[in-house]
This record gives sequence, C-alpha cells and structure tokens, in this order.
Amino acid sequence: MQNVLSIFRYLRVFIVFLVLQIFALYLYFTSDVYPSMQFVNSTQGITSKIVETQNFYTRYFGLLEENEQLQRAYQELLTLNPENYVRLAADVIQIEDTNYRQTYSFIRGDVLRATTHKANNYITANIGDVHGVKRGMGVINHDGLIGYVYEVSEHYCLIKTLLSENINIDVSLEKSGQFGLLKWPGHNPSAVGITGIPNDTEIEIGELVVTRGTGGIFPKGIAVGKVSALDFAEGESNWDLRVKPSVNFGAVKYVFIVNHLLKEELDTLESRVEE
Amino acid sequence: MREVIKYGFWFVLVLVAQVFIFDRLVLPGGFVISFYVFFIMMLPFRLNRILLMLIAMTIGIGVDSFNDTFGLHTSAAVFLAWLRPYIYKAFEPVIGYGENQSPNLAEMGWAWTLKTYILAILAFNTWFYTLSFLRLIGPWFTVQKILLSTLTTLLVILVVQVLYRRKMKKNEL
Repeated sequence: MQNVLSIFRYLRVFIVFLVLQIFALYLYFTSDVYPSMQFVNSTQGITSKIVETQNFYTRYFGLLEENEQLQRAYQELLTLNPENYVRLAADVIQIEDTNYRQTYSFIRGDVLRATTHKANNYITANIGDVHGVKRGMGVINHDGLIGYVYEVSEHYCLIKTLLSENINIDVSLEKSGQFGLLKWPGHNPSAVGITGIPNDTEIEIGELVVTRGTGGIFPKGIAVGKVSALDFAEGESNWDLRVKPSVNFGAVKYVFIVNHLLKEELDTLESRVEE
Repeated sequence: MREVIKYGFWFVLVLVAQVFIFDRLVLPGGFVISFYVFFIMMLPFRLNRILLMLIAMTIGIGVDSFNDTFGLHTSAAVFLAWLRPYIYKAFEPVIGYGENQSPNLAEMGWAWTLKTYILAILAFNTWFYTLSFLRLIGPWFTVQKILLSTLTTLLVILVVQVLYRRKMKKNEL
C-alpha cells in the first residue's frame, strides 16, 4: 500500500496531465460527432456577447464592400423583372396556377466572425433558435454555397463552411449534370476539391459547379464555384478537380439559412426506403 | 496577493491580445501567432506544476471559445505547461534559479531566453499543428506551418519582452 501511494505521488503530475489531456482531446475529436457537447464555442454565453460587440464596432469598415454586394444582387434581380422581357410567343396562354407551393424559405443573418486559415473554418452569425434556425440547415448567400449550420444557441449559430474537413456536400457539374462529392484539401481557402467524377466526362476549365439539391438541405442549382484546375486522379478512373468557390469566405458579410418547408415529409419518405 | 493581481492582469491582457489582435492577423502561409504561449512561459519558476497546468488549461479554453477550435488550444497549452519544468530544468544555471527570479528576458538574459523559448514554442506549435492539420494537408505543409509560426511567435514575444524590459529599467532609475 505504501508503495502504491508513493508511486502515485511520484506520478501525480503526469496523471493530472493525462486527465486534462484526455478531456481536451475528447472535446476536440468528438466535435464532429456530438456538437451539442461543445460548451466552449463562440455562440455561448459571454463569448457571443463579446464577439457581437466587437462586430458592431468593426463592421463599419466593411460597409463599402457590403454595399457593393447588395447592389450586385439588386442588379441581378432587376434583370429578372418580367417587364424587361419582350414576349416572343404571343400564343402562349398564361395561367395563374396553384400547382406550385413554396418549398424553401430563407432566414437572413449578419456574419459576426469568419476564418479561413484553420483546419475547420466556421462562421458565427447573429441568428439562432428564436429565429427558427436548426442544426443541419443549409447556408448560402448571394454569391453561392457557404456550408451548413453546425450548432445553434438561443440567438446565435455556428456555420461549418466548405473549408472544413469531411464537409462532403453533393454537387454536380452544371453542363453534364454529372455529380460528385465536395471536399476541402486544406491548404488554400480559394480551392476546394470534388471527387467521384469519372474521367470520361467532358469538363471545361471555368465550368460552373452547382448544388445537387439532394436531401433537402440546399435548393438545386446554387452556385458552388468554377472549375479552376483539372487533373487525372492517380490510380483511379476519376478526375481530380479543383474548384474556386464563388464565395470569398474571408469577406462574407451576411448569410441566408435555407429552411426546407417540406423537410419532414421528405425525411419520412426517404426513411421508409432505408428500413 | 500582489503577485496574483499582477499575473491576473497579464492573463487578461494576453488573452485579449491573442483573441482580438493575433487571431485576426492571418499571415501568408495560413498560420497565426500563438502569442499566449508567453503567458504560460512567464509564470514564476516555483509555481506548483499542477496549478501551472490548470492555469494553462484556463487560458486555452479562453482562446478555444473565441476560435471555435473545441479543445485544440486547451490541449496544446496543457502540453506546454507539462513540458515547461523539464525545459527550465535542462537550462538551469549552475547556481540554480534565484528565489525572486522570474523566467523572462529582463531577469534571465538573452542566451537563456532564446534557448528555452525556442524549444517551448517549437514544442507547442508541433503539438498544435500536428493535431489540427496533419490529417488534412500531410507532413510537408504541416512542418512548414510549424516553422513559420515558431519564428514569428518568437519574434513577437521577444519584442514584447524587450519593450517591457525597457519600461522596467526606467522604473528602476
């Protein structure tokens, strides 16, 4: 007994070290699996208040850019106005129809904080549970795809961006419709990768990549980015694709959370297949 | 008691500097300066080792909560706190450390500070970048990040210490 105690006394620093290390590493390595366990993040308690206050003072520096983004969005909407179009086929009958039902609604939020240099890059936004944001919802803005909601607190949410390990989003090439999986290789915030596209598909540099719209997280056809480099994947019959994201993650000012209004219906239907 | 207040003040100062200045300053190569290593290194020699680890964990959680890194900084900070006594032991002068000496440039001189701080920052960054980036970008880019970050972090910490030393000398005169 004396011996055991003396060994313990001898090793106590190391044991405390191990315990603390296991605690920290457990939090770190389970952050992908159990986001609800993560009590230390920028959507919680006093941290969220500090980040918001800081954003209140620093956001004025980005107003010029934000204004330009909005003007660009307005310009695009303007061109969609029906009055700007000449009717070509006079014999087409227009019907006010009730066959369409709104499937997506969007919740707007301001970006409080965004990073691009880490292995997993998150955006903190000032919308949360009370605004209807739920974990797993898709996030886009006017430029294109951003990521999905990773964690929600009462008034804030944490968004996992495309610049993250294991992001795995279904995307497709706009022209051929061929689909693949989006991944981030980690070095460069302006290059994401796509795997799973067979190399007999014809691809041009500069071709648009869009969301595939499966799973009801994102609407179909949201811009992801443009193909910037093309190579044969070693030992596979697939292309090794590099895509420049449409969104500049270092300068995101606002986001839209995608709310799929018929998500429950879709999920119940799809779960029947799995069983 | 005066000591506690002094180091409490440093704790807040270093945390604020890390979170609001250095974490926002992403340098080319995709790394940031881990300035808060300085706080763990500057605590008194005679501090209890377990207490040192707990303090390091606190500042690590502070940095984590602002960075959404979920325990990554905590882990690296605790590792450094565990390692620190071994580094200081290895470079202990023959006469030992004085009762009132603190581990900083002003009291220990250039040679000692450079040796211990380089080792400590290198160890910290190796732990940190291996954990976060090795899986994603492979060994070559990870080593590149470790070395770049070590160099810049060392530089910033030394500059702060030189400025602090000047201020201390002025007070003495």
